[in-house]
Amino acid sequence: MRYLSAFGRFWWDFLVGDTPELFVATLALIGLALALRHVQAAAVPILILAGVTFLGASAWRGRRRTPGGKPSPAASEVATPRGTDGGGGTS
Amino acid sequence: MTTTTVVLALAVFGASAVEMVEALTIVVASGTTRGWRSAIEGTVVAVVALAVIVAAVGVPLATLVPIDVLRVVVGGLLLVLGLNWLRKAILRASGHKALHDENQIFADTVGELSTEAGDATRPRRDALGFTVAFKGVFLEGMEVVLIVITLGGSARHLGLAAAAAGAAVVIVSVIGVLVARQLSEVPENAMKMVVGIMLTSFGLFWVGEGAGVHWPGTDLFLLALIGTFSLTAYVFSLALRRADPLALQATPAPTSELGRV
Repeated sequence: MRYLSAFGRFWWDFLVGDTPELFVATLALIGLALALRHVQAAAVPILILAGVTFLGASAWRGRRRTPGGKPSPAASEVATPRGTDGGGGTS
Repeated sequence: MTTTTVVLALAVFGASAVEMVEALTIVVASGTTRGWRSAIEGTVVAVVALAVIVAAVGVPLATLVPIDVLRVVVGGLLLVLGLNWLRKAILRASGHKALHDENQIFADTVGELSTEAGDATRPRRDALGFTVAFKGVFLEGMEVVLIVITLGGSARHLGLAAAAAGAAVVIVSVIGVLVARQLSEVPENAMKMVVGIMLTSFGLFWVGEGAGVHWPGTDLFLLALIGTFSLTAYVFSLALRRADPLALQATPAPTSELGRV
């Protein structure tokens, strides 16, 4: 049971973590690709634009989450390498 | 060799190298404080465990699952991973997130291990040293395993992806041991930016391919995606830096002489 819970936690941290917007963005991109597969001319620019927009929005959100838009102290990142601002269990 | 194959090998190599720098920092910290025998044993066991996971999950995935389904799922995973790496790299480049400090990680790990009684000079087994090295390599390696399985599986080049990851592990280890310089001197943020761009581009490319979108120029369009996301990362880094000009100045400098290895 402990391993199952650890396994679930790993995937939750990996997929969602503290950047749920990127998980939602990924689902939205998959949905867009499936919806636009019959409209080839529109699919390519829309997918790229959506990807760029989601990335920009998430980065802007990350900036706003630090106090006054200032960087979080290095110590906080080092103390929690899977970090407060990271998400996705990624380094 | 196609564009996809080349980019795949580069992406896996880059991601593995970045993760290996982090893992090596922990292994060296464990080795110097608790003894090299346990640290090396922990590392070897973790690498073997990761290789078993690649073989056990990757091979069936690459051979049994329909390619289009695989590409949508794998593309999605790569997008989550790539967008996260890229977002962090942008925040670091613009001064909104502290740079990864291997010196500090080394010092923290050494400090943690030194509180427990141990003698690094004695060639005996040390459970704590083994565990710390194993966990460090295994946890950092899990991301590499995911990248190898996803990239290798959906391009039907699992062997190549595993070989690229293996090459990165060997090269970083050899450089770490032979050159014996600070791991913090590795331009980790730049490497993460490049790998994040590649993973995001691959992710979007495969989500589209799997869903039935035809990219102009097929495989070559991957280069256009890489170019687009590179430009995007540059513009966003610049924009965030301009939005908060003080952010870069407030970013703490790396710790000086700690953790030379």
